[in-house]
Amino acid sequence: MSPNPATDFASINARVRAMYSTLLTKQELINLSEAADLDALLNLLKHTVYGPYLDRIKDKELNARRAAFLIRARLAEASHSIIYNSPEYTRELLTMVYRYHEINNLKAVLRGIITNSSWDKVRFVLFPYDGDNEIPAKEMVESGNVVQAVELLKTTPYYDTLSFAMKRYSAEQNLFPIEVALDLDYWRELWKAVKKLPKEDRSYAEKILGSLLDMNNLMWAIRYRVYHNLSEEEVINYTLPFGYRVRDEDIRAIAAGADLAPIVKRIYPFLTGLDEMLSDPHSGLPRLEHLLEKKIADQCHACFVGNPFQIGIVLGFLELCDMEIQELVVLFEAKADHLATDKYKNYLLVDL
Amino acid sequence: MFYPQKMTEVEIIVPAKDLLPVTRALSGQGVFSQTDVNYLSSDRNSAQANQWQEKVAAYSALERRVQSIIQALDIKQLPMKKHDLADPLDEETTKLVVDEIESEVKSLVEGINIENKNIEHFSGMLQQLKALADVDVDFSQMSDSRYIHSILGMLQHENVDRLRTSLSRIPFVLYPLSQQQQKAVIWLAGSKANTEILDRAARSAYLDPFTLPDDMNGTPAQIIESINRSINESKDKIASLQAQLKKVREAKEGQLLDLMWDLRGSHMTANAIVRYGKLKYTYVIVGWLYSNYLTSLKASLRKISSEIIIEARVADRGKDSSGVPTALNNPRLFRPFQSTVTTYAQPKYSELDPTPLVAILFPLLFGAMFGDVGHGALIAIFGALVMSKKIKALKFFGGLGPILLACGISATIFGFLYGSVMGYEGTVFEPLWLAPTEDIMTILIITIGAGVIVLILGFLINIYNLLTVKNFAQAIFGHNGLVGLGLYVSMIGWALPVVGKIFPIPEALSNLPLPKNFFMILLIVFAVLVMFSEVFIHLIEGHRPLVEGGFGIYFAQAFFELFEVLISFLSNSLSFVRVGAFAVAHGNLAAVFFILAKMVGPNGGVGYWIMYLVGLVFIVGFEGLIVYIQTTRLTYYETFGKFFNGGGTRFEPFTIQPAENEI
Repeated sequence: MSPNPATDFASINARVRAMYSTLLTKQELINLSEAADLDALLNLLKHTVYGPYLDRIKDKELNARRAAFLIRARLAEASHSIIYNSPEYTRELLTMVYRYHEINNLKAVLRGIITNSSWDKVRFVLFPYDGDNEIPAKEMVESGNVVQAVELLKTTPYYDTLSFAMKRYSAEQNLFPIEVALDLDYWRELWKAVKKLPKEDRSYAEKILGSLLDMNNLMWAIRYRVYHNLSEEEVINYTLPFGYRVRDEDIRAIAAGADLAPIVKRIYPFLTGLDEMLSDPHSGLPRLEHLLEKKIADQCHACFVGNPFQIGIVLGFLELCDMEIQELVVLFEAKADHLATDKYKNYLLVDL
Repeated sequence: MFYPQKMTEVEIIVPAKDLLPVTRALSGQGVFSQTDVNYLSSDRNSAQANQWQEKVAAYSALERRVQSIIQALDIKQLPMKKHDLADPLDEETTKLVVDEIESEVKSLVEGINIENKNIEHFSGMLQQLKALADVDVDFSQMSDSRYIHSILGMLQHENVDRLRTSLSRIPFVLYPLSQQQQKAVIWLAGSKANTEILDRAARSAYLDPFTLPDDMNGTPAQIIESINRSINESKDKIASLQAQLKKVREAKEGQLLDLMWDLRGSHMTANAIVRYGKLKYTYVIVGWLYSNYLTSLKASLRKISSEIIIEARVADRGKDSSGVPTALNNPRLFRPFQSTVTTYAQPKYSELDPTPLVAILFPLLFGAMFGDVGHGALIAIFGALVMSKKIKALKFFGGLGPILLACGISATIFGFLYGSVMGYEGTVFEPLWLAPTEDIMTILIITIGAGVIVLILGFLINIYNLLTVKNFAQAIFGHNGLVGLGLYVSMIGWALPVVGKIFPIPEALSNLPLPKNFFMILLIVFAVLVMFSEVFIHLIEGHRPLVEGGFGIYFAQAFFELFEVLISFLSNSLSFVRVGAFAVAHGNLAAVFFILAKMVGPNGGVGYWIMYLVGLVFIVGFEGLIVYIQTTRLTYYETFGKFFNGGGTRFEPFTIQPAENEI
C-alpha cells in the first residue's frame, strides 16, 4: 500500500507536537543559567519536564555526570515512542537516527577502555539505551582491551566496519581510525535510508539530516587539514562526497588546500563575517560550528510550520530535544565547576 | 488465610563478632525480609564499612571469572548438592585458586582461539584468492617490480570510489578483482615515485593489504594449496588443545561447581551485610518477620549470644500499614491461585487476600461455561500432566497445572449437571440439572443471578476492607461502599418485576412481599446519595471546600457520574451472562462438528472420526482457551474491580543460600 501522509502522520504529528510543546522555553533556559550552583539548577530543572528523570535517584547522589545521564532518558523514551508510532516506511530512518547515540556510546566505551576507566565511571557518560542496546557496553569495558571488546561486537552491524579499522588500530594504537570509520559508515547508512523515503518526506529529511551531515563533513575536512595536517588523499578518504549543500568539489578543494572562506561562503551564502571568522581557523572554527548548529535548530523549528504530515516534524523534534539536552549538559558542567557566564555562554545555542 | 501473613518488624542489634552466625540464622527459613538500613551507619566512609562493599565487588568479579571458566570448559551446570557455607570465602585465597585454574584454562582457550582465528583468516584469504585462481602470475614478482608500486588487498566496497577520488592527482590503476557482500578485492598500482601517496591513500581508505606468509609464494593456485595445508594444521592443533581442555574439565568440574556455589553464597552474605546499619561496635539489622516465628527467632539468636538485642513491633492492619510487605498465607489447595491474584496486583497488608474467593470462583465459572464430562476430564488430565512435570514440552505451562486440574474437575461436574459427554448432549445420560442448549433462557437468567451474588459479595468485601483501615468515608459513601451497594440492590429489586414481564423470573423473586414502589423509592434515595457522595466524603474527611468549582459544575459532574455508575452496575451484572452463553455455545459448537462429521463421513467411517477429532481439538484447545480468558476477565474486571486495590509490597525472603536456578 502506498504511503498516505495525512493518515500516516496524523497520530504521530499530534504526539510530536505535544512533545514539542514541552521543550524548554528560552526564558526557562535563561532562568536555569542564572541558577547559583548545580544544586539550584537541578532544583529548578525538577520543576520542568525533566523532573521525573532527575527523581530517579536520590538528591545526594546527583552530580553533573549523573544528571546528564538521567535527562538523556527523556530523548531515549521520546525516540522509542516516536519510532513505534511513526509510519512503517519511516522507521528504518528513525531507527538509524536513534542509532547515532549508539555510535557515540561505542566511541565512549572504547575511550573508556583506553583510559582504563571502570564501568561505573563509563556508564554515566553513555546514552541510556536500556534493553535495546546492541552493544554489550559493560562487557566491553570489563574486557579492558580494545581488541577483545571489538570481538564482542561480532553479531552487531558495526563489526564489519570495525574489523577493517582494527587493522589500523593494531598498527597505530590510536582510536582515530576506528572513530572515523564508525562515523563514515553511520552517515553513509543514514543517507541511504534518507534516499529510500517518498519524495516529500525525503526533501525534509535531506534538509535536516543533510544539514547535520554538511556541518560534520565540513568540520571534519577543515579540522583534518588545519589541526591534523592530513594529506589531500587522507582528507578525501575520511570525508563523504554527499550532503545537502556541501558538494564533493568543496571537500576536495578544502583537501587540496584552497582558501577556506570562499568555499564556506559558497556553501552558506547567508552567513556573514566568514572572512574574519576563518582568517584564523583555530579560533574561528568553533564559532562557525556554533553558527551552523543555530541554523539547524532554526530549520528544525521551521518544520513545525506548514504541512503537518511529513517526517520533518519528527526529525526536527528529535534534533531539538537532543540539542536541548546538550545545552543542559553544558549548564551542568559549568555550574558544577562554578564558571562565570562569560566562560560558557558561547557554548550555548540560546542567547543569554 | 483470609489475610496475608501477620508481620512483625524486628530491629536486631548485633555485636560485630556475632555478625555471621546471626546472618545465617536469619537466612534460610524464608520468613524474614531484610530492610536496607545502611543509611543508619554512623560512618559510611569508614574502612570497616567499605570492607564489605569491597568484598561484594571482589566476590562479584570472582564469580564472573569462575562463570567464564565454567563456560569455557563447557561444564553443564547440573543441580548442585546444597551445603552450608560456614563463613564467606576469603577473597585472597579464592583469588589464588581462581588465578591458577584460569591461567591453565586461558592458555588452552586462547590457543584454540588463535587457531580458529588463523582458520578464519586463511578461509578469508581463500575466498579472496578464489577470484584470482585462474591468474597465472607470481605475486612475489608483482611486489618485486622495479618501477611499479602495487597493492593487492581488500576494502569495504563503499570505499572504492572514494579511494579513486583521493588519487585523482596522480596517475594510477585500480582494478576491482572481485566483490563479495560488502567487501571488494582490488589491485592498486602506480609509479614507484608515488609510493607514499598510494600507501597513504590505501591506508586511509582502510584497504587491508594481503599479507601472505613468507612460505606462500607463487601463483594464486599454488598459494591456495599452501593455505589449505595451513588450515588443516590449525585444525589438528585445535583437536589436540580440546583434548587437553577435556582433561582439565574432568579434573576440575566438581571443584569449580562447588566454588561457584560458595562464591554466590559469600556474595549474597556480603550483599546482605552491606545493607545492615553499622555502628561503632555493633550492626543494626532491620526487617520484617512472620509474627509466628518471632519466638523461635529470639531463641535461636539467644543461643548465638546473650548480647544480641531484639526489638519487635507487630504491624497492625490499619491505614498506616502501607510499608509492610505481604506474604500470602493460604492452604495448599488454594496456593496455585495466588499467582492469578498477584498477576493482577499484590494484595496490601491491610486488605483481605482474594485468593480463597478466586480458588472457588475461578473453577466454578470455568466449569459452568465449559460443562462437559469428557472435555472437562481431558483438561483435568492435562492439568495433572503439567503438575507431574514428567513431560518437558509442558514445562511452558508452569504453575497452571493445578488451576487446569481444578477447572477440568469443575467442568466434569458441570458436565454431569448438563448431561453433556464429549459433545453428546443428553444422549448418553439425562442432565442431572438442566440442558443449556434446551433451557437457554433459564441458564442465562441463573448466571446473571449468580453474577449479582458475586458482585454483592465484592461490595461487602470492599466495605469490610475499608472499615478495617478505618476509612469510614469511603466505606459508607464510596461508589463501591454502602451507598453504592444500596443503589445496586435497589436497582436489582426495582428491575426484577420489569424483567419478569419479559423473561421468566422465579415467582418467589418477582413477588417479594414488599410495599409498592419500595425499590423505586430506595433507588431514588441512593441515587441522590451517590450524587452527593463526594460532599459527604469531604465532610467526614474534613476536606474543604466541600464542593470544588461551584455547584453548577458539581451538579453536572455528579449527574454524569451517577449515570456512569448505573451503567457500570448494569454492565457488570450483564457481563455474567457470558457464563450462560458459553454453556449454550459449548453444546452447539459440538453439534456443529457432529454435522460436519456426518457430511464428511455419512456412514460413520474414517472421515467422520477425523472430523470428530478435529472438533475435539478445536473445542478443548481453542474454546477452552477462550473460556479461560473469559473466566480471567470476569474474575479480574467484574469481581476484583469491586474490592481489590492491591499495591502491596511483595515479601522478599532473606537468603544467603543461592537457588539452583541462580547459578
